[in-house]
Amino acid sequence: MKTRKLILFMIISADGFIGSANGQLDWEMRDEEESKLLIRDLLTTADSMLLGRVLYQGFAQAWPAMASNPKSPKSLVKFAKWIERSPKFVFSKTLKKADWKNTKLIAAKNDKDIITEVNLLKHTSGGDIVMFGGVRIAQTLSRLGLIDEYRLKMQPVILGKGLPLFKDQKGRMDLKLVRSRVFSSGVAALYYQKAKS
Amino acid sequence: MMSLDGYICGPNGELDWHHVDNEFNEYAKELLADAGTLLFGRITYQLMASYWPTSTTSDPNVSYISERMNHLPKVIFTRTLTRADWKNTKIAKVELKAEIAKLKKTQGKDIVILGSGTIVSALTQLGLIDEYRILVNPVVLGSGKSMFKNLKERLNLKLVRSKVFDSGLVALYYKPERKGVKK
Repeated sequence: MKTRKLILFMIISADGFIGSANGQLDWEMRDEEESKLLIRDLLTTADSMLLGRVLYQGFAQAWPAMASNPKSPKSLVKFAKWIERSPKFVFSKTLKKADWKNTKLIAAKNDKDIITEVNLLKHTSGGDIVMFGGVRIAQTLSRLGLIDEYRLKMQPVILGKGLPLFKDQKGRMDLKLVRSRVFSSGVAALYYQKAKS
Repeated sequence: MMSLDGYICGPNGELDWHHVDNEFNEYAKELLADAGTLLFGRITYQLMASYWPTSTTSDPNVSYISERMNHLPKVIFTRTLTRADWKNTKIAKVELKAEIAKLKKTQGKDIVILGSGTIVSALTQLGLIDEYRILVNPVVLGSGKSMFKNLKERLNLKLVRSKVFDSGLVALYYKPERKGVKK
């Protein structure tokens, strides 16, 4: 059985940050063409989501409303419905319950737990698992070598300082650029996998 | 050249992670063909000056690059070096802003800064850089020196050109968005 791939799908500044120093994402370029294409790409192989507590709480609040709002753009509604119905795996040390539709709470208290649980997940049957964030869980899973593909939307901005994606990494990680696409907004979507050593 | 995590060199100045191949050399050739003056900070200057004068090669691209590196007029910004022995090199006598103003007035071809993190940082603060060519290498270093960590505020850019190399290197050409200037 093929191992499921964990895909990280996030914005990144040209200097490697996934959030500004105060956690803001206001430096993200809004581009309809870009989100349509990249989400469509994602949805061809991904059928579930992995997220941490913070993003889960944000998503559980925002997406159901987006799906039912008659004013929402069609492409977003489609995506919102996909999020609602797809299996969601929430990794948290503290949450006691996660009530959103099709959500499984995974109590992972430390690195060892996280590695075990993510690997277990990758060996179940299903398509790719996508992570849209949050910052902390992205940093942790990247550090633990659990991310199989990085789909980074490089924004036309240099932040200088902020929350790095690759935090506390031990040593180098060689990557292989598997796909790239540049948009008129100035965003460069870069897809990387770990290079075979 | 930058790593995906925003470093221009490893913690001890390591550059062995640069993806340099024939395609890159073609790119470097084009860059240098359009250059009129090269600018350096001390560290990059010392690195280049210890390599290019004696480099020998049978590769025609590298040969051209070598010729340009050695013959192009070069200006170093340094507080500590008092002499520069590399061919056609002078140490800037006036401070950064004044020297750049002078160069921009007299030069026809591009003024190119290679490496030189501290200089790029200072020039960015002064708003004197017209184009940033960031070459994103397909590697995460984990630690190293970054060029932009002392930026006082974020630098909004406009992507004007890009090139993807077979090695996975991605060249992104950006112009800074100037405040009050229409996009």
